[in-house]
Amino acid sequence: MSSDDLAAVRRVRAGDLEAFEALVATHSRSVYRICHRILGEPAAAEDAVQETFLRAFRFLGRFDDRAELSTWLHRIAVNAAIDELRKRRRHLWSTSHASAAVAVEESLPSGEPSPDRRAFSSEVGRATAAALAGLTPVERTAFVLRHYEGRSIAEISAALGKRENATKQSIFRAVRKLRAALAPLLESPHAALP
Amino acid sequence: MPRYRDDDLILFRYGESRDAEAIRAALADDSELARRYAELERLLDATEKWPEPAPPPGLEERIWRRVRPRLEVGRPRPWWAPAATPPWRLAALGATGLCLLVVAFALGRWSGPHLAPDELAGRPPAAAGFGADARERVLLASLAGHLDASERLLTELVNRGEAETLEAERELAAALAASHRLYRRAAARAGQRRIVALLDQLEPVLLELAERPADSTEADGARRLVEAEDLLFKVRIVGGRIDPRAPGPMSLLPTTQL
Repeated sequence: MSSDDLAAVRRVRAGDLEAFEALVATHSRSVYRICHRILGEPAAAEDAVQETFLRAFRFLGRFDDRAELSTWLHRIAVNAAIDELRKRRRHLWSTSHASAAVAVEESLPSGEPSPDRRAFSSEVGRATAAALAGLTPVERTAFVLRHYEGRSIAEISAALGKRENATKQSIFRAVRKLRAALAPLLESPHAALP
Repeated sequence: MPRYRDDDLILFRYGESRDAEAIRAALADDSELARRYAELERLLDATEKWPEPAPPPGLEERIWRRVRPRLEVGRPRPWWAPAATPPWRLAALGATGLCLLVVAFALGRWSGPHLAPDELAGRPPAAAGFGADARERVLLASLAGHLDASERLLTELVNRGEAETLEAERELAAALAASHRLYRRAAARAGQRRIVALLDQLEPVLLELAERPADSTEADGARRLVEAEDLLFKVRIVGGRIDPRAPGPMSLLPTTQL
């Protein structure tokens, strides 16, 4: 854990709320990214970030100073996001995720791809968002954490409270579903364009 | 040469295969396997087209503004304080809740036959004693505390590290299990069938934890029960909906949420 984080944690435990503000400022963005990946919608992600920090504050007395604060926060964030996801179910994804993915993609700086290639990328981004929307919360969370966040299966299992074998199975199912959704696009002639 | 399945290739792709060397060798020798692996890589690379979410401007300030007012009530315990609520305090809280329940039911009986709401409304408050409505409020207040403590227990269970002992969770579970049956009976008598169903799902988790050795670190059984029944979510939802101050009968969840 960084010395800044450690100092802030100790000050919070001593009752200094301003130190907690520093922790919120330092870790909000990475926590948001995880929550957004799992939930797929900015407002829901912000709710989960808020819940993450409330839970962190409540359980800070149990946090082991030798551990990495960001890892601990991310574990709480995963659970907060799953809870939020279950609360909102698929409504969020089916209504807003695909369009949000396209909007974000269109706002990205251009790397000068051809128009066909850009259209294909956009199509794949949309299809990926739609396919992720069809996964169960655990499949989606396991895949997002492994594929986009680079977490190990052991870490994901700890965050989800599952055995490693169950986490692997969730990832396998997620990949199978993504394959079924994306295969037609990947077999199209545009897939080979520069 | 063993025949590798797609699942083996997925683990290999993520650097999680225990058979990595053998798979690498097989990929060099087996063109069909190499073709399948290339296809998998293409698929996973394509999902990168889903862009990384960019945090919106002002996120940190906004989160702090939303979190700050809710911190005073739940200041973290100082490092020298015990990690979990001390058992004597839980026992005292449980006993208080039970006393309230017993008193409410006793007064309910003492106040004579149950009166219709309109009859009760026509009586002066002192004569009315503790009517059905008051008894239900007492039940709800006690039940809300029980579910709040249960939610805390389940949250700690789900977020605990693998190596931590179960001592704190075990003590909390034992204190909650001691009064759980009485809450269930009271909820059943009050006709709160959905709450009874939730309490029935919660009970095995409390018992499973309460019966673990204090130095145990293994909580998979209890976690599985929580996971299988979506218990943390249900407890949070039901606990959050109980408002003993609200007039009239308690609002119940739609069946689909339980």
